[in-house]
Amino acid sequence: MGRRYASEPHVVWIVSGEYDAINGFKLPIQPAQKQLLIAVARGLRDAHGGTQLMTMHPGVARSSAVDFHDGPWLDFNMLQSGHLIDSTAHQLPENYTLIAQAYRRKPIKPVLDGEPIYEDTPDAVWLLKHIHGPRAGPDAVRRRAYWAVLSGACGHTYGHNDVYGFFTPAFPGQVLSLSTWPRGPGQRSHWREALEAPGATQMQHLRRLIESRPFLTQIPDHTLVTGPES
Amino acid sequence: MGRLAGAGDGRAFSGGRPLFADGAGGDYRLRPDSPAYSLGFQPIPVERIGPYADPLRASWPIPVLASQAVVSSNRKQPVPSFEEQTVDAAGPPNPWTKIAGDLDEDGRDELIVGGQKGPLVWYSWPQFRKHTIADSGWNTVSGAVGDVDGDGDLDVLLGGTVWFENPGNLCTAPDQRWKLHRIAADPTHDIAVADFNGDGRLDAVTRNQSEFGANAGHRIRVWLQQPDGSWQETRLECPHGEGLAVADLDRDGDADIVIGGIWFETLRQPGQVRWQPHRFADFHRNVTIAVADFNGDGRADVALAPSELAGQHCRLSWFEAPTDPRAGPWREHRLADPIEAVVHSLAAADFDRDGRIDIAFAEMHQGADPDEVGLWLNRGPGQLWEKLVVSTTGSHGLQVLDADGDGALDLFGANWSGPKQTIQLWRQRPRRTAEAAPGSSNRTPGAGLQRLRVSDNRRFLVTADGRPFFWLGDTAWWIRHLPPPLLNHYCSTRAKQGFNVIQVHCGFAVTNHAGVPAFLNNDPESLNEPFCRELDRLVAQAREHRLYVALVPM
Repeated sequence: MGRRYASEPHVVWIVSGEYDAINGFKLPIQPAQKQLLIAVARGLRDAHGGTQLMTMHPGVARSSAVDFHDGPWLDFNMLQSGHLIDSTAHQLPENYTLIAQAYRRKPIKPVLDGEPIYEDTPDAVWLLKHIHGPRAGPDAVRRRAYWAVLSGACGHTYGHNDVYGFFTPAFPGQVLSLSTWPRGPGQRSHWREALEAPGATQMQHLRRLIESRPFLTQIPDHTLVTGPES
Repeated sequence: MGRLAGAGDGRAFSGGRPLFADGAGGDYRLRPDSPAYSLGFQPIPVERIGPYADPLRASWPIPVLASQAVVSSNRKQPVPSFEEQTVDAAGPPNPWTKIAGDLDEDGRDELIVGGQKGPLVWYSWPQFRKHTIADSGWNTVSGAVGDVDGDGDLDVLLGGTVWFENPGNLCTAPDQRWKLHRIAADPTHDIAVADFNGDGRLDAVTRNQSEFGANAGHRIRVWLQQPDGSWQETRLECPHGEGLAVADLDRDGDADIVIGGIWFETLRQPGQVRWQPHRFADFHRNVTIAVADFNGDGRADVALAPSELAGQHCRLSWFEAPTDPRAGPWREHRLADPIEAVVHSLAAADFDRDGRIDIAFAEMHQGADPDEVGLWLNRGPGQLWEKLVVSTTGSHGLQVLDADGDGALDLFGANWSGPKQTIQLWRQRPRRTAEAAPGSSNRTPGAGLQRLRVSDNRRFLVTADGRPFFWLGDTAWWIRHLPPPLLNHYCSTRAKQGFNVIQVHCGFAVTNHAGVPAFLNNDPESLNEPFCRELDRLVAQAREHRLYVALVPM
């Protein structure tokens, strides 16, 4: 697969999705499992010879830096801050903390939040195992985006609960629940409608803000993240 | 922006305080002993803080959003260019009904055509293969699309009055017959749809005409859809004539009804809805109508043209909405005077994508030649217009659509009778000089999409030539579940919204929408060619929309 897309200038590799799933999300992953993942990364890198960027996508509230920061093939770090409106309420770090931790590491590598809470996801659905929590509105989505970028992330990733799996309801009003069949974390609207969700249309403002100022000299300022009026 | 308490003192910067010269006082220069220098940062020249052109600013000039667009009068304005294409030389006889809508949800609008006595067909992209919806059942000139049953896809409504239920899954099974639902036995000329009473169910409004002996255009019928699927009728008396549109003229959140010179204010009351007529213009009794904000003041203005009969004359004008549309006066702005009363189509849309709403029009073939199909391009906010003739073959019921899904609006139409009844599409050619904006480019699609690398200071991503790349991603993990015709809609929407990366899961033990596995027997050496051919299409489609693809192979 690496060879097939090696010549595409616009392809980036995320070597594995939720790579710690290989150990049932139990940390740390086993040395042999880590070696397997590194072997896949090396295989991809052999195919493109370093001309395509590579990273690794971890499980909840972690970054790829934990297991792979020193890998020469790892061009930038990715984290998954997870599907929580308020991570600290569940004794988990917010994304600005995870980004700051990755930011401080040497050698220096860029970092971004590759999976914050998806818009319209029921709060903490994967921890609570039910879909009755409050839904993440555009405010929750924007907060994660601005937190991440003002803390030093080199970009951000958005997601919507009904878009990532391209949900199409079989009948009007259908809601997918973790406890019923077919199972899902509360999907409830057609992906085409969800494409136009408010948060999705608002992400461009963050991009414009950051791009409208000199880019390579920007530094994190956590007062913009944790100050009383933030 | 108000000052943030504590901003700039860096107390919360977990990498150590950056040591600004005087953060509290607004002086963000770094002190010589700032740890930021050890992170590889260069001081920013203070005199150059603020907006200015710089190769390191990816979004320069700061793009103007459509709603804030201003006129630049001394700039040469691009003129859209159209290519004529015959979609069907043997379409339904007397193709009275023309409608546009994305029936198969592929991100492109389909052409829908109904013959006077049938059939009702639609044409699928890209070969314009013809698919029959139904053979008969209606009695109308115009039609509409809308989601009548609330299942997420577009149904088709025709006067007479019926609606056809979209069977869904048209991408893979286009040749399905659609179920007919009757609303009323009632011949019409015009039909429009809106949710008038705000109950979440789509309603319809119809009007017949007063020419050709029908003599029945003095009544508007509103059909409110009931919870049990039946339709409750309300009749509104009006002067004789033809032409009907719905739009929120008083900006109160509900749709009002517009005919030639009169609009009916929709008044929602507990348990019922009623309509209050207001006169806004003296005009020909037979009209075609387009409602839009032509001068950019946030109010809905109304454009009118005379639609019948050949040999009569009136004018093509837009009427400027006053502060209170109930009170008036509505100032008239004439675009063409006189004009023959054969303008049976008027539509408002931004064809040249300059943020100003243009007007499309078409003359029917029974008028004096040439029978023009064209645009009035809005060059100053409603005050300065430039006419562009696209064709002189004439059309009745001209429709605005994006047939090829490229974001540039196209036109389609057909003459309603006579020797030349071909279904014509006028496709807008891609622009040579597009405005630079996030998510778009003045280059041809996909060309020059550069490889990415890490910036020299190791903090950011940049393109190969060193320009900033701000990663704005969307998680499209399971996009393999979409059949390829639907990819365009996803990619074009996300590109328009400013995204530049999509994150896609493409392996290891997964299958796509057709049940095709990524690898044969889960053997990492046996990549499955049919799976990859579809992945190739996604990668190509993303490139066309200038989206980077982050692939997750396991």
